[in-house]
Amino acid sequence: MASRWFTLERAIALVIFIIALAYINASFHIRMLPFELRQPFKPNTFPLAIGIMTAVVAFLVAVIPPRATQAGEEKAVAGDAEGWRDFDWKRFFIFFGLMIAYATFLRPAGFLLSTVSFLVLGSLVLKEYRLWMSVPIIVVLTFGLWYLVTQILGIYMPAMPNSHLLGQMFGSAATSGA
Amino acid sequence: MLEGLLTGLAAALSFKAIAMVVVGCLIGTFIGMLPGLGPMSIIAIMIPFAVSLGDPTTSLIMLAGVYYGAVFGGSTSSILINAPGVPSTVATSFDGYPLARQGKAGKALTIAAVSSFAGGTIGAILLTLFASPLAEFAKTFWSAEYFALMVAGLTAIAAFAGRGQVLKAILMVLVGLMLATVGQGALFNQARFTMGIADLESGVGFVTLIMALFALPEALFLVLNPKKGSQAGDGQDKEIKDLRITGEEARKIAPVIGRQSILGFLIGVMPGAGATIASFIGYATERNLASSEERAEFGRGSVKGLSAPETANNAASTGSFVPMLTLGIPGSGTTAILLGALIALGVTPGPALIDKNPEIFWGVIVSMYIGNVVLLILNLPLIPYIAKLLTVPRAYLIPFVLFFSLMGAYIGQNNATELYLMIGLAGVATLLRFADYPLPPIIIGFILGVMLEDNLGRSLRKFRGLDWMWERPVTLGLLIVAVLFILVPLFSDWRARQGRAKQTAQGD
Repeated sequence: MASRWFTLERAIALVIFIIALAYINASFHIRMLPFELRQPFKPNTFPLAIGIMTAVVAFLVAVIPPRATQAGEEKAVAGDAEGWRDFDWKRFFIFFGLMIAYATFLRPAGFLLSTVSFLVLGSLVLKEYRLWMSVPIIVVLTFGLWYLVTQILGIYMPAMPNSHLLGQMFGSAATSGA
Repeated sequence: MLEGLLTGLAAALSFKAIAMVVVGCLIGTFIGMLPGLGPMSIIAIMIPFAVSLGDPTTSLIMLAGVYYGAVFGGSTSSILINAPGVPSTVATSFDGYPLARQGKAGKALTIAAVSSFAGGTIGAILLTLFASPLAEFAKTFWSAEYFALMVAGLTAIAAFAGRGQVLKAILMVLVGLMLATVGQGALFNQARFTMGIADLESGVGFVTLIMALFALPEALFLVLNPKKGSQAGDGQDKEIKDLRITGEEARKIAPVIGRQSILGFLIGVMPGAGATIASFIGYATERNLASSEERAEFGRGSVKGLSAPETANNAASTGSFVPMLTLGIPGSGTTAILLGALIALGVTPGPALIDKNPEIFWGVIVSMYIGNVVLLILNLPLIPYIAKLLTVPRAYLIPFVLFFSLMGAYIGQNNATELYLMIGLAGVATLLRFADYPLPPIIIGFILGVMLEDNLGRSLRKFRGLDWMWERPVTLGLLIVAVLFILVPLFSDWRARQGRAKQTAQGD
């Protein structure tokens, strides 16, 4: 029982508790204009109230003893964490990395190049190795979407690599690395 | 009301609006059918597109169409492959999937479609009748009543969160409120809690947050757990034919539809209790009402067991529009997202909506009737073809969902920081889901945060102090309700613990 006590649920509540303390602290340091200081309702009134409530509730969630689940108490939907040991964590983190890379390269490398790379790499990770099939599909769909977004909806989205931004990115990386 | 309905008809019957309902319903059905993508994810993905339409009425009508479509699409995948994309269609699979296994998939889909149509339409009629009196009543509200109403709404969400989940739901609401205070709000001159990051001064983007909470984790879960939603692939290849239902079956489900439309609607109106609870209660009620002979059929392909949750969840989806349209308070995660979209379009929600923007208020209501008809006449014959979509390989599906989510946030804010923030929040959301924390309360807290602070501020300034909390009867009443919403489930939870502790002590 004791080993099962410190669950992910409690760990998260504890982290939220710490964040709430930091939030309360930050509430005291909000810069205010002189007239605001005399108001009954200050920029930090509401944050202080919810910060304190969050800290209290998070603390309660972290310390209240676990509910023993009744035998007859069935859950309608299986928990998301069920069988987590068998989950494909490697692919999960690869996708996380891919998304971060996409966010980083979207502007410097342009929409078309970065999107096609993201989608092709993503499908490769999910074991779609038939590139002769996937690449044409993805290129056509990407271009279609770019056309829809920029030409029809009128949203600014540079398609091509931006040599200036790329240079900035790799230039600064090179100088900071040196 | 009649005048309002005419305004709504004028708004919803324009060519553009009807086209958008059709498009919305189709997109909703298509994507809603894909395992793992529920209405919230789909609406989240569609918001950037809806906002770019420019006209709030058309945008909201389209998003509402997406919503009904997604609810219907979710039922389809529950019935055909036993993969409920969202909790609200779990009860549908209890009897829908057994029917499909018996080769009656076509019949099951028809029953689902007819029940959804009836539930949605009766819900829309009730909405038409009740929305405007409620909004009229709400017009007498001041900031103090608003503040109390929002507090009551937020606590109701916790109250309906389920056993042992009350504190966690409250915690998630508070996290949402905290997130809402980040950045430079409309209320104060200074940006708050930006931690020195310039891109955070505009606050956490609403689209960013919903993508991070709903769309990204869903797709990432499909990556993590390839088995999820793909069990029982045997229903996929079968031809779907014979969509007819017999007269006897129609007689069986008619009373079910009548009861569950009203019950579902009432449950949907309550903040926090949405389509999911309505569908389970609907299923349980009909099971209890059935004769013992019929009861044995439940879970083995009962038409009543399929009709009940389908009627109830659609009626409840419609009912959840009542607090959103009349009070500007979202009762569910989905309506919170729709409300956020309204705000993003520059419309102020609340009781004034019916006067200031009658075309939105009534347009949405009228579009519900249209949406339900569209779903029935357009989707029913298309089901066999739409079902083919279930065979789209995940190797394409997952990267595209992730890409659409990233794009949605990027288009809204146009900076890479927003994308990093979203990816980070998605990681947090995934962890929260692992620990069984409910996520919709975050978005509801986030949406209500600004309004809550605004109304609290107005009340404090106007009345100088806190006396208004007990001097104004409606305010006091609502606040008492709010306290009860928290205390009653906490108390019953505590009682359950005590009882069990005693049991185990005696047992040992």
